[in-house]
Amino acid sequence: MIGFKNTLIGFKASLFEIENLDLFPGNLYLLAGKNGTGKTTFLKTIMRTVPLHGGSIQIKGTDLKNIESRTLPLLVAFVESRFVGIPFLSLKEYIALGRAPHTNAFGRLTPKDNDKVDEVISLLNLSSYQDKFTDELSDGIRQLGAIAKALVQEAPILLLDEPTAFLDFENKDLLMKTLKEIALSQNKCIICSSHDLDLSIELALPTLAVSSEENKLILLDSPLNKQEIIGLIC
Amino acid sequence: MMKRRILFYLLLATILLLVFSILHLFVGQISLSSSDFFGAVFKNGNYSNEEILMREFRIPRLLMAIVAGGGLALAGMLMQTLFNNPLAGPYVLGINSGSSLLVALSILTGSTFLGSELSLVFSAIVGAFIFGLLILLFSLSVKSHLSLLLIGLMLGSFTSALVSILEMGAGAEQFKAFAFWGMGSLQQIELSQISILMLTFLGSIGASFLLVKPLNMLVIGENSAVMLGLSLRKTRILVIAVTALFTGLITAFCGPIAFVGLAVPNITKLVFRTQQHAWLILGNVLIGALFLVVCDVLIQSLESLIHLPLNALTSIIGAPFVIFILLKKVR
Repeated sequence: MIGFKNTLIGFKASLFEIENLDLFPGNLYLLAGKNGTGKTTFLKTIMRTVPLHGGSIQIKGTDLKNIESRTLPLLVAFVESRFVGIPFLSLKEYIALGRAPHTNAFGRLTPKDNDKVDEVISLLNLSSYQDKFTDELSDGIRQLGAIAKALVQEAPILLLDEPTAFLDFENKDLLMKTLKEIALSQNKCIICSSHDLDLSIELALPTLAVSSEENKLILLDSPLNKQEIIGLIC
Repeated sequence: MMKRRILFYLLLATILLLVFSILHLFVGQISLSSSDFFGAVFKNGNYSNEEILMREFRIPRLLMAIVAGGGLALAGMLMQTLFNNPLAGPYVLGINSGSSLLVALSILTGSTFLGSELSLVFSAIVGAFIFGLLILLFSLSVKSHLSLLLIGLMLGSFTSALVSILEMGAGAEQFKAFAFWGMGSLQQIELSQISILMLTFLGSIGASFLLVKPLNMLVIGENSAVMLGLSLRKTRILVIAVTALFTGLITAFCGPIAFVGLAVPNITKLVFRTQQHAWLILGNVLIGALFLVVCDVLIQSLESLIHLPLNALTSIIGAPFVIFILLKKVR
């Protein structure tokens, strides 16, 4: 689904390299690395908000460079680490904005769009919050809302930048489990950066580790314990 | 539920606008009757003096109030959404300083190139567009809401300095003409100019509706909107262009009018409680128009006691409102 070949990630200088790596649908990948090693830059490179430093990235067999800006949101959806909420914007309206790549020039929601929004809202158990304004919700619900917005986009690839950073333990647990379920049931390729290595061991997630010694991104198919990951990234 | 609230307030604003518009037509110092109104609108020639007064002064002034109020409110809404800043507006960001500068150039130098009325409107729109782009450029490197505001104010002082240099070199007649223009007035519009005014106004409202989708996307922030496929460069240019159309058109005919573009979009959002721009566009046009028609009714009914310049009145109401928003929202 996503293929990397001699890919260099970095903003001004190259931060790390991905020699040869293929990521497949149906998986939730945990992206681990110390602060400042380029996890966010890596995700943003796939979103094309940061230019590729070298090498190539293929998405569903097409070179990232050749994908039109209009098509990219149909392939990749992004969830930021924090959504602070906006006055007078209801959760449902916020989630429905994820349909923007599908709607016409006026942004009109068709019955199909509305069905998709309702489906995702009930999948994430957000029905009782959907009419509340987003600035009046808790961080946990808002984060689920941000994920819902990305899901209604119906992109096969989902990138999340530390979505658990502002959540308590219970919500972290719930969020990661939900993501794993979605990856399996909707056959999506999900990459989620996080410092919560315990959760990845508990859920047996394949882990992408930014090795700080070699400056390379290494895939650990099923890391056995936290020490194995920490050994790599530190 | 949400929709019912919005429809209720839209209806209320429409009714109030109608009531105050009728009031506006009949509050002047010379009292006119409703038959003068119908005569002025439906007769072909042979107008009585009262009908001429209605046709050439009262009706144009009312339409100007509606266009100026609605247009400036809409321009303010566009700026606030584009810059994601509740304190933005064509006046505080110095967009109409651009109009003022070019208008000053044409009035004060009495240049024939910019002299005709149509080109006055055109130069005001061009001036607004240039200053809009300038503010856009600054906004790219400024993070804080207040910094952008300060830049807008600096742009305003810089321009007024240039204008005062122009004033020093101008003749007495031109100086007087420009001073009156600067106070803001709804009376300068003439019957023959109404058609171009209304066409540009309605055209710009139509153009705003074409921007509903990008505006709704901008609500969640530029970065998120771009990742949903929004073309930021195209959106920015279009929003600035439509804002310049409104601001330039109104500034050319009325002079600078302060704070309507800042206060009304905030009021509309507080009343409608929505971020859906299709509703906000309608709301801003109606509430903005209502605001200025009410202001002008006030000015006209106090005329025998005191002469209130329009810009002074909107500032008296608007400036405390800005302080209110500063205290409540931006700290």
